[in-house]
Amino acid sequence: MFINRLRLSPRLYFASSNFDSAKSETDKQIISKQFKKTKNMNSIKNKVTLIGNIGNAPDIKSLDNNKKLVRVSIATNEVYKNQKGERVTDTTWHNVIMWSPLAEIAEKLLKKGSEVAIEGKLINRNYTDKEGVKRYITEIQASEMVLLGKAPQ
Amino acid sequence: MQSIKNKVTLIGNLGKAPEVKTLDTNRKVARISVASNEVYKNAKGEKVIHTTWHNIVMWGKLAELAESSLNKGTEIAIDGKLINRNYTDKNGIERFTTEIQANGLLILGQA
Repeated sequence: MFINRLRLSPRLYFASSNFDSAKSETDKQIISKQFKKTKNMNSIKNKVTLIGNIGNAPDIKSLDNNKKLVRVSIATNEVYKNQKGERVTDTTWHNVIMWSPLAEIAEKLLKKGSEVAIEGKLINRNYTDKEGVKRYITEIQASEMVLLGKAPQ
Repeated sequence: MQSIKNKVTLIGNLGKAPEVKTLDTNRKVARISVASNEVYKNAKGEKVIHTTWHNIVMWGKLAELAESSLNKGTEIAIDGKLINRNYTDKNGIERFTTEIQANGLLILGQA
């Protein structure tokens, strides 16, 4: 029903003309490294798949080393009937991060409300908030993404 | 088909024995933490092991199974979904945490 409208992955990026047009030798190295990364079996040990809608426009950060980082939050809805027979929608919000080259694709194509399927892994990190409290956060680092719903014009 | 929208699978080892609580309703809840190791080679070609710890919650029958058969170091495979909840810690700070609620459990490494 929804699979395969538009399949976007680092692997495809590697195979596409982007690879040939990569400006320098180092760009090519980075891309082929990312390609190799997707080939090991580590993902079988830590894997998340989510299907949902994006709650905010992607938050894009460009880093010094020419890498891009995109943050989106994805809502997954679970619908069930409670004991009284009422329909209940339970929404869970997930923090998803995407690195280049997925980040460039996300920047171009994702908008608030877009329906996407992603696959990735769970990562933990900590930071200190403005009140000086150390906070721990769990995020999903996406490795593959499929856009669902209407294809962008 | 709800699980297709929010699905986690993990393979790893338990960091400590399960913490099991029995609620007033006689329902059991077990909490475990599982380490999944990722092995890769860094830019210098050195082998690096990166460990991620996951908090897992199990209810009912799964909690009973966890209590009876899981120990520190047991290798398991888990299927579940991501849930968020918030709580107030002992210093009065509100904290959010992401956990995995297990739907299925497989004990590995048993001959």
